[in-house]
Amino acid sequence: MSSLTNWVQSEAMENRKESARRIAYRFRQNPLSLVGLGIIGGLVFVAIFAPYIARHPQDAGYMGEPAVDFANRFAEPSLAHPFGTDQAGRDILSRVIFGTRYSLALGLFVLTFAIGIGVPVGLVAGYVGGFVGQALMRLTDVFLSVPPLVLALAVAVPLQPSLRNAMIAIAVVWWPWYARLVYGEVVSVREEQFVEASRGIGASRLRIIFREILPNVMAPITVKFSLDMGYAILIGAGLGFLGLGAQPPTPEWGTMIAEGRAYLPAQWWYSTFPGLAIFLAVLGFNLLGDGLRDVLDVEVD
Amino acid sequence: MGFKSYVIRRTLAGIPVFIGLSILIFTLARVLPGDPARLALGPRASEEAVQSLREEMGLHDPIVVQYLDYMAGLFQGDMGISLTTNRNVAADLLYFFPATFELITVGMLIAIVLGIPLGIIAGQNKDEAEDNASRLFAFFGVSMPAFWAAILLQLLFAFHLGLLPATGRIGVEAPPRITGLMLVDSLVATDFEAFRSALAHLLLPAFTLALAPMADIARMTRSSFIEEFNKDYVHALHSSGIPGKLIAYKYVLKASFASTLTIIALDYGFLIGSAFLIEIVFAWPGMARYGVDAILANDINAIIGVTLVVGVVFIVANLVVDILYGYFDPRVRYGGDEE
Amino acid sequence: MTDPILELRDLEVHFNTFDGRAEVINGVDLTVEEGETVAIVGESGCGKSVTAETVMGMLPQPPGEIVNGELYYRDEELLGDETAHERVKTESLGMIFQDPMTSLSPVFTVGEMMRDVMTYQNKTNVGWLEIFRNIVGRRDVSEADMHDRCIELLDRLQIPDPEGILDRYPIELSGGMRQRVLIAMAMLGEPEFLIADEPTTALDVTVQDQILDLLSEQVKREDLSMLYITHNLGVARRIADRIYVMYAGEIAEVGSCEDILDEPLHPYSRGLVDSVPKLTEFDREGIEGLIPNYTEPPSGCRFHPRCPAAVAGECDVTRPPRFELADGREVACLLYEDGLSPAAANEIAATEADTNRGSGTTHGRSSGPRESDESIESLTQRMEDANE
Repeated sequence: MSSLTNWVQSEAMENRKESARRIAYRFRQNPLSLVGLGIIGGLVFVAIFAPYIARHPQDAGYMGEPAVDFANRFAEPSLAHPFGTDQAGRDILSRVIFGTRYSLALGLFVLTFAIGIGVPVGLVAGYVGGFVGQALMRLTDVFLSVPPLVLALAVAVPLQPSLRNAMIAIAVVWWPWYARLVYGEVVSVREEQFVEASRGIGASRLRIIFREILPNVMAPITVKFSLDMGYAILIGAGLGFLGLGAQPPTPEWGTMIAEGRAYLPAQWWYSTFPGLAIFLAVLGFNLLGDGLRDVLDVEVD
Repeated sequence: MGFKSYVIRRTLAGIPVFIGLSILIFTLARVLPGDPARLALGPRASEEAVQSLREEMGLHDPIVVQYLDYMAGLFQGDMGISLTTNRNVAADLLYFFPATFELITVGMLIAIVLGIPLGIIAGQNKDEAEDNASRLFAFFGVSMPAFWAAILLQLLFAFHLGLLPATGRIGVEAPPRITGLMLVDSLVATDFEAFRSALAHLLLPAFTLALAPMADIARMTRSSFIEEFNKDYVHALHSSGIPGKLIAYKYVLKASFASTLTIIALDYGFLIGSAFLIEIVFAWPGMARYGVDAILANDINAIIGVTLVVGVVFIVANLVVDILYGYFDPRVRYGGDEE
Repeated sequence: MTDPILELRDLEVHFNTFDGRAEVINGVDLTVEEGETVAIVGESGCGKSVTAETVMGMLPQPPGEIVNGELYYRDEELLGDETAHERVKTESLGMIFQDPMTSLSPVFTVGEMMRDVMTYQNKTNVGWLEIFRNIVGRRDVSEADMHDRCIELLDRLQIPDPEGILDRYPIELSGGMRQRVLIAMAMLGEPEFLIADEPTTALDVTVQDQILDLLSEQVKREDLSMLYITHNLGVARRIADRIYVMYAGEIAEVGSCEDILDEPLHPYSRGLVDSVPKLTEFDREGIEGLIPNYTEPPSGCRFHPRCPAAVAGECDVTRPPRFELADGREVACLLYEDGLSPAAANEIAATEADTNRGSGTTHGRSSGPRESDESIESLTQRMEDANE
């Protein structure tokens, strides 16, 4: 038996290596996903090194309150200020650069929380089934019956508007998507032969969940994670835009667009460039997610 | 199982979802930190005033009683008094909802009417220029923040080119209110000037709203079209002499439309969400403004009302899509409730 | 002999895969005479379906690629002329597929599909207006005539309640009923030539028999020619006049049903006949191993690593041509190089096999991946045992 186990394991290792090679190959075949990966890499880089990249980090509130320079307000885009300046004379490019940090942090927090709650709920509901499973999934359905932005609005109310509370509000409405995804996978995987087989060998429930089922739901979760990063950033910016997220003068993209709207159409650059940043970030995650969806051959929505 | 029983089954399935939704919203509004009465009156109000408002809102009762009271009221058209407008929330919603409904309906129609052909063109020319262009557009469409796209389009078409009005719902005297839908009311009143103006005002916001779902629908139509086209029955029908065009536009289209429908249902929810943002940009006098104002003023009854209405619209939209799905794809009718 | 209705010459099809270029069809010649039924027999993965797809003009390209070869239908070359292929396909060819589940449109009724087949029979140029009219439910052909023909055909295929079937969706029918409907659809187009790709494989054994009977009845009645793809020699014997045994993208042996079944010449055919229990007097040895890897096919004869009679230094070097032993009797094996009689060749093969076995170097067990496949079988077996 032990030689058989060894053989199975080495074979599994081989298969994993083989499929990793396959995935890398198919990923390279898809230039758009490489573009997406490039955009995201760039964003992460900018977020980490923002103080060194931005020419006027103090304008974005780095090490203190955002600086003001009223003499220089509403400067048009120029070499000195490629994205122009705002109503307090702050360099919009520097603020957009720092905004990367807020959006990425929001996306990461929301999805970490959502996956942390949603995956266990889905696993339990799918694997245990019965009354508990049904109850959990009905609860999930109810959450899913309201558009996320609207539900997030409702949750955001009793909490005072702030970036932190916007994150909490979005996270609270996001987990059901993962619960449903995992639930669906578990139910279909549960009946498959290899799980039946390991049950036959006498594997425990926990072991089956962690060794057989979780690896199988990794692919769809990875794809959904990438696509959702973009979507969470969109919703976060939307809350900021409505005045329910980060408050001025925080250089959060959605908040900046809302501020700039008061100065349309004359100071068009104020709203335009932060929006461009959102667009790029979301595009990056969408391209990557779509590429992963093709490569890993899963359909999630 | 016939189509009729499928429709009935589906409709009944919507009821528990509605009840669950109302419980959820109600609980969220009550359980989350913060005292609605205190929030409504602000930190400087006296303790007595807060107490009496609490009494008035029934906040001392157990939450189950509060919920049942609310539901009992709901069925009589009473959704509580809005703290900002001092009117019944039901009356407020009745006033604001038609504008939002008109916007999202026209938006969704634009998305479907443009998105499906776009997807078909892409799917038929897989990996060629048309396909790549349409896929690129799809990526751009879903990645653009709706409120930003709204501002850009506003800058271009309204401020720069001056082709369309930038904000508002109508530029002339509004026709008498019957349905609250400006396009319908103006036609009923045979006031074509008003119709033209309403349409012009509606065009930009509706199109902006349509962008993301249009892109999504195109993407889904493309992939399901390609998938269907590679199925055995396409070859089988072709080999028995049915012309390729008929196979593509009758057999493949109908089969692939079923999966496009599921995406449409999901997109409808996202569309309602973006409507909240778009209405602000275009100063559209709909429910979103009302909702956002309510949120900023901590007007709890109005918030529950708005969320509930949005939820109901979403549930109904899903129901309609499910029924259409069953119509287009007989397989669904024989499946279980899952899927 | 008359002119062949269908002739395939030196077909080579490659597939571009992740692992490299797979030479899936490696020089296949095949003829079907007027009114004849020819079966291609081989284990799964030997390229028989790819051959059928090429004839039908529905080989997915890419990843497939026709590298070489000609296809003549009534002396007209088709592989180089897409329009002609398309025309012949719609006018003269009919196809019956393996899986009746997926070969009917899931979203239209049987009647709707049959009416469309009849409406566009032998029409090549159909305008957009007519397509549109069809989609909204209008046709130029009389509904009553069509209805009668449908009923008659469904009746002929022994479908109970043909009236009711017309209004049903495929999902409402059993596998056997669907396969009958599929045959009816293929017959509706009034083809001259049928291609059947394992049409009974997905069905229950009892239903298989009925379908096979119905199919051969139709073929006889309409005097059709047919190319029948199967992995089952028993089925081939029941339906075919001649058999092509195919191995790893090459034709191993050609002959009439009796020839192949009574006196298989190629060691592969012998193994194949051998693995059909009731037909054989040999020791039931079957064939060791699996179809080879197409990206790096074995040198020489593609069968030599599994061949019990392989001669080292010859079979792994020289690719055997097809030797014609008698009229219509061909075999691609070096044993028959010198015009050897089958009996003599058999004897040589037997001694060769004995020596191979004696020296303990059974070629069939030499290479690595095959070993793991055998282990998988034993593993599954153990798991099943554990389950019980």
